[in-house]
Parts: sequence; structure tokens; C-alpha cells
Amino acid sequence: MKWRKWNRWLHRKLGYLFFGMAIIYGASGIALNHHIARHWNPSMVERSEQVQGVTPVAREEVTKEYVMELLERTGEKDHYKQYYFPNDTSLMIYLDKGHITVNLQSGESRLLKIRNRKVFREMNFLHYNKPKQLWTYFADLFGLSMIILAITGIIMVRGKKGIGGQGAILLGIGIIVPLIFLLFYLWV
Amino acid sequence: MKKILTVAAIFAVFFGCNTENGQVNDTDVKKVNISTIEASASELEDQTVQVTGMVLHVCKHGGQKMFLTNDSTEASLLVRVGPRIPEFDVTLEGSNVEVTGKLVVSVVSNTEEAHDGEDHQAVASSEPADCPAEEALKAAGEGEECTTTITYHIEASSFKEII
Repeated sequence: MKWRKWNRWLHRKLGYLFFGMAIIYGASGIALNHHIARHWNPSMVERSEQVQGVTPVAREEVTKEYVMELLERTGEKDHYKQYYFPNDTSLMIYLDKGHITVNLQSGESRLLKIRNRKVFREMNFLHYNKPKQLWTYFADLFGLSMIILAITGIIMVRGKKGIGGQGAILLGIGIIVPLIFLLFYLWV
Repeated sequence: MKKILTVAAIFAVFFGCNTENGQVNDTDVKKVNISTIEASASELEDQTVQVTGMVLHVCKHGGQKMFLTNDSTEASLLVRVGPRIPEFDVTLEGSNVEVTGKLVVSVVSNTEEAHDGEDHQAVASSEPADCPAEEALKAAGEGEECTTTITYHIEASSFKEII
């Protein structure tokens, strides 16, 4: 039938056109799944370490020299931005891509270094629709195309391997699994 | 070749439109400091303000908001990205920035605050508000005190790092 030819044509063209988008949304989708599950932060890498040998000091005694001496010890002198007191017992030293927090009462200090995670950051940037504006419409077009790809995909093959046979079983599983999760986690 | 050039031209128009900025006229912008906003947020509601401060914190879950402070106040000011800003980079923490944007004021009840996750810090930049009569009556009926507050933030249309 002629409609099958058009169906195949549409599926093929959209498949090629949105290959890149499917990879971006698929890979960043996995990343965001694990972000939400708190397994990791896909957009950035954080490294935290204890700073040893910081002696307790009163807020009034904290000077730029004190801060620079602490930075010298941690090897972060060249990354210094400025310091700030979140409260009377804490000192925050801001660095390029990180900071050091100091408990002025106990001397307990921690250095946190942050950097953007390459590739995933870019993919998440798009997946979260951070560019907004025209990207919104291109991403909408991709979403619509995914629906078309799904429909054209299930009706593409005839016979017992198609929607009239094995295909129907797989289709059913793909619909039932999310329904089971909704049933247990949302509806009950 | 002709097809490629046509596609390139379409993309050029596409992105030309995309980068159109929503810069407001300089004369419409009120230069204020964080203390001024803290003291008279209601009077500045919906106005375009420009404020400078040090970035205390950038939300790591998407970079859609950051908190500013300066030497003259202990309060922090919540800044959210506007429609033309993709995100605030976390490396802005500790930098001084100049932010221009609309001051948005909203009345938030204590129950709403409890549901707003990281936004609890925004409550620091808030002031008590008169409870609407209806809410006050409802709270009294339930034997509770109405604790509605006014919160405010800047919806940034532009920002730049000050060296």
C-alpha cells in the first residue's frame, strides 16, 4: 500500500534528522535520572577535602593576611577571590571554582573544588531548555517527531512480527511497566 | 551548494532573532542597593532595578537562582534568571556582579515556604505582611497564627561580573 511507503519515508527522514537530538536527550536523560536519584551531579564535578592544622580564631582576628596564609598552605593562593562571614563562627573563602569553609571555633576547615563536567553539562543545558526562546520550538519539534517516530515505527512491519503479533506483546510491556510504577508510587 | 546556503541563511535568521536582547532603557533603571530593596521592596515592585553585590551562592541544581549580599547588610537577595538568561554559572560564587532586572514581590504563606525547598533562603530577604482577612480568619479558626510574609526577588534581564 502506498501509505506504508510514506510511513517508511517519514520514519527514515525524521530518524536521520533527529539522530543527534535523540542522543542528546537520551544520554542526558540517563544523567538526569541519576541526578534526581542523588547519585551524582551530571553538570559538575565536586571534590571536597579536609584542610588540616587550622587553629581556632575569633572573627575579629581574621585579616586578609590570615586568609592568604591559609591559602598558601592549601596551594590556592592564586585562586583567591574574596572572603565573607556567613555568621560569627564561620568564614567562607571564595576561590575560582570553589571555596574553603572554616569553622572559626573549632578550626575545622574544608576545601571544595568545583568544575563543570564536560559533554554532560552541554547536553543537560539543552535538555533543561536553558537556551529558552527558539530552542523551545526546536525541542518541541523533536518531541513531536518522537511521537511520530513511535507511531510510524509500530505500524511499519506487517505480519506476525508486527503490531498484529510479537510487536503487540512488546508494545503492551512498554505501556504496562510505567503504569505499574504509577500504580505503586503515585496512585496508591 | 545552493541548498546548504539556503539552510545557513535560515539558521542565521533563526539565531539572529534568538540573540535579540530585551535591554531596557537606561533611564528606566533604578540603581539601588540591597539594603534599599530590603527596606522598601513594596515601593519598588515591578520596577527595573540595578543592584551590585557579591554572589554568596548559586543553586547547583540548574543554576536558575543565586543569592547576593554586600557589606552593608546581612540579608541576602534572591536573583532568578529571566527569560533571556540561560543560567548562572556556579563559578560566579564569590564574584561581584551587577544585576539588572525586575523586582518581583509576592506574598507567601508559611505553608508555601515550607514547600519551596532551597527557596527557604529567600525568606531571609522578606518582611512580615498583614494577613489577608480571609487567611487570618481561617488560621484563627484552626487555632494557628497567620504568618504570611512578603518575599521578593529580582528576575534578572542581564548581569555582568565586576572585576
